[in-house]
Amino acid sequence: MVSITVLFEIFIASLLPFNIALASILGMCPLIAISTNVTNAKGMGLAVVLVTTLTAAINWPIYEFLKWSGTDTLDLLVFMITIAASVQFLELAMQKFLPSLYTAFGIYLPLITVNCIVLAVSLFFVNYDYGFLETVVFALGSSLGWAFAIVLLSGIREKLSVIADLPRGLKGKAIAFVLLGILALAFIGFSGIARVDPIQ
Amino acid sequence: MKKFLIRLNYQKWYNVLRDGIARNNPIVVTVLGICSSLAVANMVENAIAMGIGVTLVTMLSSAFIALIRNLIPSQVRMVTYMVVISTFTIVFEMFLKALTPDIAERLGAYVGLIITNCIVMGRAEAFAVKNPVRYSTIDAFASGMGYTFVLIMMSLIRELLSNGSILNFQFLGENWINWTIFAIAPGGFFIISLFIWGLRVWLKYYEE
Amino acid sequence: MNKVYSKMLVFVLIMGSSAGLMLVGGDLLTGNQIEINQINLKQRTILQSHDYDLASVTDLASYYGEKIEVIEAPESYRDLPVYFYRDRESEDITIAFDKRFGSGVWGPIVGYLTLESDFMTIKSVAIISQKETPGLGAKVTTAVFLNSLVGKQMEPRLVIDKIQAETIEDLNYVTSIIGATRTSVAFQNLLNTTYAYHQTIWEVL
Repeated sequence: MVSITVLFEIFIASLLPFNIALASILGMCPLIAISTNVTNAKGMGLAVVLVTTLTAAINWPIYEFLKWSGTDTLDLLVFMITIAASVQFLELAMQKFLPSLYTAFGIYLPLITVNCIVLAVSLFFVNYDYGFLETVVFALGSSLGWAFAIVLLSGIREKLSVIADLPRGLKGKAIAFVLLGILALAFIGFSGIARVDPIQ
Repeated sequence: MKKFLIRLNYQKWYNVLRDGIARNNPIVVTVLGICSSLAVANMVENAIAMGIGVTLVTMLSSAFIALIRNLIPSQVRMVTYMVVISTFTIVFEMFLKALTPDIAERLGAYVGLIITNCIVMGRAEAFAVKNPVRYSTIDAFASGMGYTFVLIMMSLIRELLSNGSILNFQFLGENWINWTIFAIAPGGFFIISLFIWGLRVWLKYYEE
Repeated sequence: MNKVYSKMLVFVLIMGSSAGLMLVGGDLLTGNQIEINQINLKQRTILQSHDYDLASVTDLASYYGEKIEVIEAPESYRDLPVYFYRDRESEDITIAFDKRFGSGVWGPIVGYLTLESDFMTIKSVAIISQKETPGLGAKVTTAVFLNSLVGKQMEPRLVIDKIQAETIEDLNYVTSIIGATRTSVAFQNLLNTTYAYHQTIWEVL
């Protein structure tokens, strides 16, 4: 049985020092595209947290089955199919049972299928050899870390577009990358507080 | 010679090739495919391997999707693209591990992330599903080459500044203190923003 | 209606069979080579740790077989199986360190630690894979650092520390990498844990 301290350590580690957006540089496409205002960013972040945690929880038992049957080279294919299927299913379920929530962030759901971090979390738990609880905690931490990054970035970009007089070439994506770089630098300050593969 | 060049402008394959590399250059115009590129583009070797990987996978999957484009039911379009791209990525990963195990070791999980690379999916959705095989292949090749070009440019600067070498061949001497920031995440972000800025000013393509 | 269904069926069949064909074909073509690559790397690293020049060797596997003796841990220690790779001539022993005994800062460090026949003095350290920060922690793989470990002793425990190593002359102190304190500490712990585990078994053998 995995101890609470190990789970907590993985959670903190994937949220701060090994932040999947600012340290592993994944999930950039939607990060840059949706971070133009804070409301959209919050919606996208929430949707990503939901989908990532859910799909990681589903992919773990599937990967155990693949290992048992000896075909773990097919993990990429099977993961992608389960991700696409769960996103589709989640969209339908939300449309039916939580219509207000669906109108709030339902449009982002199809985009999440190709969000790198959904697949990346699944590939990482394969690499790190996690158990089920560790996978869920890791997925939660990573996706919250991504949501954290996008909300931070959108807050700064929103303000910057109003008060700053940027050169024409820097407006839009270029300045977003500069801001991300500064955020990434700041997050390096969290190094050492937790490890993603704690020694047990 | 001049007649040949003028006639070239009317060839469809030439237009497709040119648009893919310059006008529709994914990194600048639509900032696609950055996902996998930034983290591994800190050494030129890795950049070349990733670039070749993305180009190959895009070409093969675009060609295959163009081949079966009339058979795909519209509801399962996305799933189809994913199955095709995943299959080619897995095969590419197998060959990478077999032929160049040290590069495969360095790229690690990022080879698998070619599947979610927006360029591969984007080209399939935007071009391959509506055009015959030969044009789709050329378009995919152009997009892949544009991506590879930007990746190699970035990794050249990053490797030179953070290690003093290019392709593991030391260029800067003993007295060079490594600017290690360019080997890690923030450096990648800064370099690509400068790149986009420079390209935008040069091509006069601004975003308001 | 039937036409739509039959079209869909044809499509699914084509997709399934072509995907299956490519995956199986790829696996058949490359599966063996991947395993051979891994075994080659391990054998080459171990032979080089024992100072064998591999430039003129054609059949790696048989050369490895004649130079290195592989000793397995006895029955009672099989739940965490380890191997000792002993050179038949010089009696130096190589042990492997990997993620079972610890890891680096960003990921596991895998490699081989070669000790002289007294099972205490380091003859060489080789690292096969690591994921440390390029330019900082990754300096742990540079020849400069690894050579500084040669001749040091693992008893009572190896200490990789900047301040202590500069002041103390004992043979188990090594200077850590400048700017890569955490990787140095992690590597030190990894080596010590590996050594301690192997030592208990070696004394039984």
